[in-house]
Amino acid sequence: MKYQNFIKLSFPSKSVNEAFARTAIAAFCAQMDPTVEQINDIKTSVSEAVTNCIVHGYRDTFGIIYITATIKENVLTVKIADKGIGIEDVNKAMQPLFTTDPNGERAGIGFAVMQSFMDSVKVKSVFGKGTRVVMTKKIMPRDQNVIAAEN
Amino acid sequence: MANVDFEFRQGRLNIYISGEIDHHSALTLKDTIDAQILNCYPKIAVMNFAGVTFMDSSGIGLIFARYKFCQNTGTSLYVEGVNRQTQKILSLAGIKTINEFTV
Repeated sequence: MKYQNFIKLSFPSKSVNEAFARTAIAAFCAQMDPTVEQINDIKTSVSEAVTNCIVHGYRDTFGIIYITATIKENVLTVKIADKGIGIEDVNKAMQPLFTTDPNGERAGIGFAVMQSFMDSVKVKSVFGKGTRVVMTKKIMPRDQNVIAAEN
Repeated sequence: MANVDFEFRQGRLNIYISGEIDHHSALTLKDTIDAQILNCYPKIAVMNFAGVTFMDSSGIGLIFARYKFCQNTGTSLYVEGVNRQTQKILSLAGIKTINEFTV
């Protein structure tokens, strides 16, 4: 029997919840015994995805953000979804420096951060219906981490 | 939550940022920093990230937008005190030097 666990969260798209979301996912994945760096990678990626829901998906409006985090053996999967305006062209949105922010305060590298910090990132979006980001990261048990580092 | 402290001496404004920088906290940081720059029109502004415990790409947006802002006030902007995790994000934006750089 494979080790399995999951949590589900839903909360309104208030920016104050960005810190809650990343901290909650970090606390959940602590049972996988990740390194500090792995925890930070996960926190940063969750923060990026949740921020996307708030600044893009639910821009000028409020909605609910849904997160499901699943652990299956050594793999953490985090799904972050909104029912906001969606993304017209996902490939374009994922290009570095692309941003829909009109104020110039966003760098447009959110997806680049997720892709760089997680093992895989999949984005599904239906324009007008919402967006779902699914990210995975493999966290090997600590003794195997040491072996991998030595090799 | 993030906090910011300032030190202004001989045309140099030190901006000490501490805590967690995300989209939420960046909104307050931006207003406070811009107000302080307008208050003293420094020749040099140095954003110090030594006290930052978490930063996502909102920190990059914060730096880039302050750089643009500083062009209007004739201020040279520097960044220093970057830790390993913060550096990971900075290098994604093409910023490579650890201790000090001009954007």
